[in-house]
Amino acid sequence: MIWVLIRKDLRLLRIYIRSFIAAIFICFAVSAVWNLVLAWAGNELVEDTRTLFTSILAGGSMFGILLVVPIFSSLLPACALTLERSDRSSQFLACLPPTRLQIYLSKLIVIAVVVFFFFSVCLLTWFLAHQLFHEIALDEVRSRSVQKPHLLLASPSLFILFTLAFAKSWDDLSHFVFIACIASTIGGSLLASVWSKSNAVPTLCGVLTPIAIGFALVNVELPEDPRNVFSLVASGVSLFCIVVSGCAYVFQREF
Amino acid sequence: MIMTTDAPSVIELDGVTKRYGGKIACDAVDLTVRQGTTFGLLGPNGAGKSSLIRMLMGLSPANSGQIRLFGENASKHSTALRQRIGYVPEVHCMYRWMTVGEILGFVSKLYPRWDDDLASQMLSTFELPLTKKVSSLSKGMTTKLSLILALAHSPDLLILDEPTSGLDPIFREEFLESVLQCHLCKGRTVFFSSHHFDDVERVADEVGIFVDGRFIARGSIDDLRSNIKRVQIVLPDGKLPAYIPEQAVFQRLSRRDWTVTISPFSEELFEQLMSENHAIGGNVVDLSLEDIFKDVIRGRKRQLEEIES
Repeated sequence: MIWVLIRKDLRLLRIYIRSFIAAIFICFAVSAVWNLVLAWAGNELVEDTRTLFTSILAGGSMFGILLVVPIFSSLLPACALTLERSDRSSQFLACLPPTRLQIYLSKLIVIAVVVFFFFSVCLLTWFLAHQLFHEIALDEVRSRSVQKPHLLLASPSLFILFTLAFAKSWDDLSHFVFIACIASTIGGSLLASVWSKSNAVPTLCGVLTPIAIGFALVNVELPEDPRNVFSLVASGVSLFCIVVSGCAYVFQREF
Repeated sequence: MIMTTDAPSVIELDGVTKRYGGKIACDAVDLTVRQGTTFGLLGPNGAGKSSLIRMLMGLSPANSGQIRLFGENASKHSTALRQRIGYVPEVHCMYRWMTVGEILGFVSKLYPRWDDDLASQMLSTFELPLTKKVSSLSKGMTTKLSLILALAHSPDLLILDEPTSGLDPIFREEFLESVLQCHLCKGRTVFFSSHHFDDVERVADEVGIFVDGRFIARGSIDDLRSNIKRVQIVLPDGKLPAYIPEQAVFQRLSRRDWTVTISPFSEELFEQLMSENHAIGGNVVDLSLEDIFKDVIRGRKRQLEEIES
């Protein structure tokens, strides 16, 4: 029965999933156009095809991870519950055999799979950019005699500086921070959408949840690596929100 | 239609009360509907019919009392229990973005007893195009689609909440035909609310008149007709009715003509009315279901006004 509901939820959210795909595509397109324009303008770094490709991948994944994935991981949970409530089709669903727990679980599965699929795509491209960056850096070390400028310091473009720094940062950043951040966004949005008819407030709540956690931790003296503490707190908040919204949804009446 | 007296009860309501704030929608309602019965719930707007049906469907909890469907607590509405029930709501809130085919495909997978042949047969009878979106269907077509969704999984209990309201006479006719053909012939239980007397008279075995959250009359249509009768009495000049029995549900006086609706009616009571009011003449009139409904409602209204004043 849950598969039937999952298929229905995928269809329900199809516009947002298509928009998600389009937004991810646009991230890479913008990155590509920006880099090509810089190459056309004579930026010597991106004249090299490998560096250009690295910068495009890093730029796309950076926009995706920092902008598109958080927005859609907040929008999807908000829409999953409120779309059915706003057109009252939740009342139709309430009269059918699936239990409210099954309905909630199917929505949660769809949201988690879609968000983490696109997040993985961004992570993968980030990893590829990072690998390419390392290859270029190694080549640079090997051919010091050619007097090539240092990859990061030599770039006259802030954009390329950021994208390449992002490509380099794969090793430095804890990826669990991003996962926990997205999970808390989903949790915050779900919790707000259980009591909301419009998707605006839950979307905002979702986006603000990791920011609020971050601000809350800023003033606390942390005993260990703050990234780990943030990851732990954000994961806890996410789990709490998902469980509470699940319980609220199960006991809620549509009439 | 099958009337069953020893059949197991499908719907059991025991002192069910539902309140919305201070307003009582259902007031300690007791009801038993046996398997194979078609129960017609008649009542004016705001009587509490939809509240009662929502509680039956487990969509709204009762404040007190017990509701059992097939012997199972209705408030817990398990998947297995819902798979035995077909429901046509008053307002259709189906997925408007789905086509007729998609919604049939979606709902069919939720019921193990879904009958594709029956669904196809009903689709062609109702001339519903599979490719048309639900949002572009008329009210009548949406009601028909709702009926297909409710009947095609061969439910043991069909609950219809004012299914024919807002439908034109032809649609209504087709709808009732389908209910009769596809359901009643199989001896299943039907519980439906309506304020169309002819629909109820045509389909129902048992009728309950529901006003202000209570059943004020209940029984088979024949029983109601034989129990509730209108007595027309011609009083002597200048006289008012001297004896008004407590069985009088509704009365009206126009010059010398006194009309009184009696429930329960008996020949002895008629004789007593004639003699104690020194009637010049009198006769007993059989009432249609509509007249019974109107008199009972008017009488109840007048009674409440008297209490309030």
